[in-house]
Parts: sequence; structure tokens; C-alpha cells
Amino acid sequence: MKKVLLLTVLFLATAVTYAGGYRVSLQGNKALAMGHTGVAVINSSELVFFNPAGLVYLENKLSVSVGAHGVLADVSYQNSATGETAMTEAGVGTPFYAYVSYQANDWLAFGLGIYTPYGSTVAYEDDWAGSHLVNNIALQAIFVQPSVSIKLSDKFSVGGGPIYATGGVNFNKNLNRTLVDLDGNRSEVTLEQTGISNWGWTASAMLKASENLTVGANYRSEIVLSAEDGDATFENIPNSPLTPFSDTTFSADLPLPAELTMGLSYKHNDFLFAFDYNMTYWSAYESLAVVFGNDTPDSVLLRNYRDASTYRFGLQYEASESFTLRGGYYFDESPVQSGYFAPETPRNDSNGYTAGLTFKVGDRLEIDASFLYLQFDQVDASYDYFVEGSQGLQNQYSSFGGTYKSSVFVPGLGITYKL
Amino acid sequence: MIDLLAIGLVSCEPEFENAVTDEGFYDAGDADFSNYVSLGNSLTAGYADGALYRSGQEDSYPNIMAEQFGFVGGGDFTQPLTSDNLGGLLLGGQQILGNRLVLSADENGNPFPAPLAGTPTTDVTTSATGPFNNMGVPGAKSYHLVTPGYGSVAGVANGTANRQRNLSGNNFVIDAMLRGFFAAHKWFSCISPHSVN
Repeated sequence: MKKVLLLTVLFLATAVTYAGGYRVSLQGNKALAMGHTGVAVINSSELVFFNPAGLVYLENKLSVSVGAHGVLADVSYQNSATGETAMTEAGVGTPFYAYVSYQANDWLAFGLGIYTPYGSTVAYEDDWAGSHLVNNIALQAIFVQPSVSIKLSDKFSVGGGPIYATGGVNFNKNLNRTLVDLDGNRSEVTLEQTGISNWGWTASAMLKASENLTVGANYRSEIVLSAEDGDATFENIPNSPLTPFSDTTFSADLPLPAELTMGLSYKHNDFLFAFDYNMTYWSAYESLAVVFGNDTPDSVLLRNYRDASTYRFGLQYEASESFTLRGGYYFDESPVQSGYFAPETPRNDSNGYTAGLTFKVGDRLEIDASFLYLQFDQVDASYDYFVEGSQGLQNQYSSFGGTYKSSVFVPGLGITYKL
Repeated sequence: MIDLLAIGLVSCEPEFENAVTDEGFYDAGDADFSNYVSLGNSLTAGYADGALYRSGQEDSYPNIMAEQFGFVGGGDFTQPLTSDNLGGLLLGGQQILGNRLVLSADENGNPFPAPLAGTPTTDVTTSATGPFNNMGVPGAKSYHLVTPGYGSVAGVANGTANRQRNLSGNNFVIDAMLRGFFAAHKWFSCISPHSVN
């Protein structure tokens, strides 16, 4: 128990990262251990997220899965031309999930899920070399999703439900590369708003093609979090009537992109193989346009993301009555295009290696553990579209680049209760 | 499990194949950067906005160069820092040089430079503690480099020069030599004769 408590503390003290953009693919310990596959895996109420159509095939009347992940993520930056270096500081955040499914009768099931599919915490040292792009950012989104699952035949089911998303953002950056107040402190702005909400939906289907082969597909709609009347706080502004910066409100749209998943699972004796393909429609993220409530000039940070694919492979082995072992691999394609590599989402392509196990404690309770190591190559990249703020330079872009290297470790722990 | 996590925490920090902080990433070649002395005028001193003030000095080009020299064996770089960001200068308590200029605006919004309000705290007679690597003096001309006593209160009155040298009677180049800076392969930079100041 003491160890569990310690682990919990560790989880609370770690940073949230994202896999591809600010997508956090950590929606279940069983699934993550298998490379975060699950659109065609009938395993537990994690199906509420991965494929609600499959809920009706669960064997238990009631199934509950609760868990969390601790993300240990760091990004190093260096520029060999200038000798500048930077390293992100660990932030605080806990991606978590809670799923419940209930079998109403042999053709109808209901589910409810609360999970955190998007988020990002990145904090550089204030006034670092790229501080005109970001000092620190914290973005959180929590999804609440009631679901229904209907068996249309013994082999085919559909499912889905509405999604209520609520989130917040806190983003601090220096205004540009040079402006300081009288004492030489860099001028900066903080954008903050919490309680931004919006609705979306998910729909899915599952086909039990044969005794051993299951096929599934799941679509989750785009949800745009629109900040309105957020707080824009300016600090270290030169004390002059000529600097047009004062505390005001801001509005901005942040898209949480749609995602399509297709996959299959194949069972052979005590083994289960799973494959998922994700397409995340990142092209929705064209720019981060911040409009201020007063005369402050608008800020447009071009992003120009492209749609990105993820290929996931998982294997499960039921080793004994008590132990189920899992392993997996995935390739995560970055949505960031060349020249748009911004340090607040410093992600290039990555390889995810996963492992985990389930330990059965009696008939009803299972403990799920998982571990993810996300491997990144170091990358030379730049963001070439920073607009200098001075008048007369409105359409002058400046570039900020260097070498980035990320590393991510994610231990996770959860429980599954079946009745 | 805890041990495993601890290992994870330690090995979490991403490392570059060739880090700029690694020994030998940058090569000094045959140059010895261990001692860098800059001679010159206002540009060298970090003079800005019509005054010499602290954050301007921190942004002086020799200071920036010295920072970069640090990658190839450069040593400490000391400057005769003023006491504040106002930039005005006192002589025995009496203000003899005005504060820095900042951009102000009249009631119609027309911008004009105006002296920053406030009482400066930098006094000519209380020399900063040397020796200094940055020997830039606002207003200095090339021939001042060999003018004995340049900057002494009794001699030619250049207040800022007085603050960075209190060896009396010598000229700047001799001062620099006396301080052991001016040896073979040592680095000097010098911007001089006819500048903005």
C-alpha cells in the first residue's frame, strides 16, 4: 500500500507530454501495454474510448477501469552556431481515465468515460533563446463521454455517443526578441483561460468476422476549444505611452482534431495480436491566432500542421490464471511540417515501445500496469514564421532553430473491476 | 518498482550525440582566448541612450564577444559597471552628466527623447574595483589611448574613464600592459576614432 501511495505521488509530480502535436495517447493501461491498440480488442471498459461498439460483447454485467499515467518527459535544445542551450523543466500533470460499462440486456450496453486525450506541459527557463515563441505552456482538456452500444447481429455492433470537452490553457511568452523595460527585464505576455468547453461526438462499429478475428473502426469528431474573454496579462512593458500593451482580454481557437481509427485483432490460443491505424486530422490546426480585446496588435502564430498517421502493434499472452503479459510497438508520425517546428510542441516522429501486465486479485479485481518508452531521434529543425512586432516589419519573418532531442518515459497503473 | 522508476527519472534527460557543452565541441585553433581586453570608445563601453548605464554595459559588444569566447577557453570578463540603470553621473555628490534618454510623447502623441527621471547613484570619485577587461571609454579618441592621466579628476575630465582606472599618470595602453593583459596571443579589440559619441 505504501508503494502504491509513493507511486501515486510520483505520478502527480510529473509532466504531461503528447504524442504527435498535443495529442496524449494514454487512454488505458491494458491498451497502452499493447502499443495503445484497442479498436478491435474486447478486453474491458477501456472500450468506451477505443470502440464503444464493442461494449456489448463484454462478458460482465458491470466493468470499471480506472487508472493514470505519469509522464517523465524532457526536451533538450541546442544551437551549435550560437552555443545556446536549453532544457525543459518538469511540469505537473496527470493524464487519467475512468470508464464504466453496463450490460442492459444481450443486445444493449451503456458506457461512460472520462479521459484526457489532449494536453501539454512544456516549460523552458524564462528568457531562454526561444522565449519570443514560448517560455511555458500548460494545456489541459478533459473529455466526458456517455456511450451506447447496440448489437445488430451476433457478429456486428455499432456504438457511439456525445462528448463534452472542458479545458484550459496558460501560455507565457516574451513579446519579441528585444523589448525590455527600463531595468532590462524582457517584456512578456501571459494568456490564461480555464473552463473552456464544447461538444463533439464519437461513432464506431465492430465486426466479429470469425471466431478468432475481430475488426473495428472508430471516429471521434474535432472539438474546437474557443477561448473568449480570457486574461491577457502584460508584464515588464516599457513605461511609455508609445508601447501599445496593457492588460486586456483575448480570444483564440484551439482545435482538438478529429481522429479515425481502424484495426483488427486475431486470437490464437493464449495469444492475441492487435493492429490499429490512427489518422489524426491535424490539418485543422493552421494557426494559433490570438485576438486582443484592445488595440494590441493581433498575434498570429502559423502552425500549418498536416494530417498524421500512427501505426500500432500489440501482443497479449495469457501466461497463467493470474498473469496476462502484454507488449507492443507503435510508430507515431509528427504533424509538424518542415519550417514550422515550434518549441512549444517540439515533436518529431517517434517510436513507442510498450510493455505491461495484468495481475488478477481474485475473481473481480485486476491490477493493470504499463510502461511506455517513446524514442525520438535528435532533429535539426526551425520555426521560420515568427513575425517581428515592430511597425514596418509586419511581414518580416524571423527564424528560430537548432537541434532538439526529446525523451519520454511513461509508467502507468490502473485497476479493473468486473461484476 | 520504485528503483525502476528512479532509473527512469535519471535516464530521462535527453542527450545529444554531440553536445555543444561537451569538451572539444568548439576549437580555439591556435588562438588563446584566456584574456580578452577591449579598448575603444562608447561603442566598446556599452554606451546607449546618451548615457552609460548598467544594462547597456551588459549588452556591450565586448561583453557579448567575451561570452562567446567562453566556449573556447575565454576567462572572466570584468567591466566597470555603473551602479544603476539611470546612467547619470555624480562628482562628489553633484550630478555632472544627465540620465539616459527614453522615448516620451507629448499630448498629441508625438514622440521625443526625454531624460529618465531619478537621482543617479554612480559617482566618478568612487572607482569601481578593477582591473577591468573592458577599457572602453565613451568619448575617447584614438590619441587618448596614449594620453597620460586621461580621465583623472585633476587632468582631462572624462568621468567614465576615471572610474575604470586609478593608476595615475599612465595612459591606457600602459595601464593594460601593467595589468598583465597585453602579452603575446592575448586578445584586444579596439573600436575607435570617429564614432557617434
